[in-house]
Amino acid sequence: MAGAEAETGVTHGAALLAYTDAVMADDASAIARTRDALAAAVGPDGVWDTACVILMFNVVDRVADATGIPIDEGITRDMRYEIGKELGMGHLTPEERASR
Amino acid sequence: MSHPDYRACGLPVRPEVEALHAKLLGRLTRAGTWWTGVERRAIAAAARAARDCELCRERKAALSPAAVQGRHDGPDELPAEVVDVIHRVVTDPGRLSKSWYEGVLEGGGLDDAHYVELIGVTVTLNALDVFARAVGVDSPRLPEAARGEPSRERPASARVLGAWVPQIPSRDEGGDDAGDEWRSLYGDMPFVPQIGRALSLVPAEVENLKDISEPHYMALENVADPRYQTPGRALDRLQMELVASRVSSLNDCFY
Repeated sequence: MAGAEAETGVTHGAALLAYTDAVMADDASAIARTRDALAAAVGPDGVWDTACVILMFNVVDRVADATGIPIDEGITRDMRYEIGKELGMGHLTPEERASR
Repeated sequence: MSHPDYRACGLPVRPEVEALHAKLLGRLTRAGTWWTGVERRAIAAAARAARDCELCRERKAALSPAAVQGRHDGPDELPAEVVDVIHRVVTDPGRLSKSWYEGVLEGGGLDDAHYVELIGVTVTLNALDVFARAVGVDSPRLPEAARGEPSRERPASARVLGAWVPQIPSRDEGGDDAGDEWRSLYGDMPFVPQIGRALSLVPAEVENLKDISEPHYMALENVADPRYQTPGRALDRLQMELVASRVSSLNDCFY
C-alpha cells in the first residue's frame, strides 16, 4: 500500500475520502473529478454505494447532534469514534460535547 | 420532477434506493404525527434553502453562532424561530447544544414532539439533496402538499433517559408500561443503538430512519456486529466505516 491507503489501511481509502470530502464541501467540479477517480478504483457500483453511506451519515449525524443522544458504549465507539481518532479525524469526545 | 430520476447520473441505479427516495419525498409532504403536509413541506423547503443562506454562512464562520444575528434566507412560511432551528440543524449541527435545545423549547415556538418530527423532516430532505449532488443530478422537486391531519399520538411511556429529548424506554428502563410501545417499534431486537432510539418520541420518524438505514448502510439490528457485511454491496464494511467516519468528522459529529 502507498499514500493514503497506507495511512488509512483501507483499500482505495484515498479515493473514498477524496470523493467524500468533495461531496461534503459541495464542490461540483471536485465531485465530478473525484467521482470519476473513485469509479476507476471501486467501480460505478462502489460510487453509488459510497453516496449511500454519505447520505446515511448526514442523517445519523444530524439526528444525533439535534437530539443529544449519548454515544453507545462498545461497537459504535469502537468502529467510528476510536477508528476516526486513530485516523486523525478529530471527532468530538462525548465529554467535550457535554461541556458545551 | 418529484420522483427522483437517477438515470442521468451514469451510475448503475439501485432500484430499491430510487424507490425509497420517491417514498421519502412523498412522506415529506404528507401529514405526519404533529405537523400537517403543508407544514412538513415548508420545513423541507426551508431545509433546502439553508444551504445557500448567507446568515448561516456568517454564523458558521463566527466563533459562536449566537454572535451573528439576522434573518435567514429562503421561504418565510414558518415562524422565524422554527426556521432558525431548521437552518442550524442543516448548516451547523456540530454546535448544537443542550442549552440551545432548552432555549428552543422555552422560546415557545416548538414543543418536544414537534421538535423531534421537525428534525426527522429536515434531515431527510437534506440527505436527499446531498445524495443528488453526490451522484451529479438535480435535487428532486418536492411534491405538492397532501391534505390530512396529523395523528397527534404521543407515546405514553416516553421519558427523558439520557438524550435531550424524551424516548421510549426499553423494557429494562421503563418497567411494565414500556413493553408494548418498545416492541411495536423494535420487536425483539436484542440491541438498539441510540441512533435508532433518538426519534422515538415520534415513532413514525423511527420507521423513516429504519427505512433509510437498510438500503443505504445496513439494518439497525446489524450495526452492532462488526463482521456484518451488507449483501450485494460493492464496498466492504471497513470502506463503509471509513466513509462514515469522515462524514461524521466533517459534520463535527461525535456519533
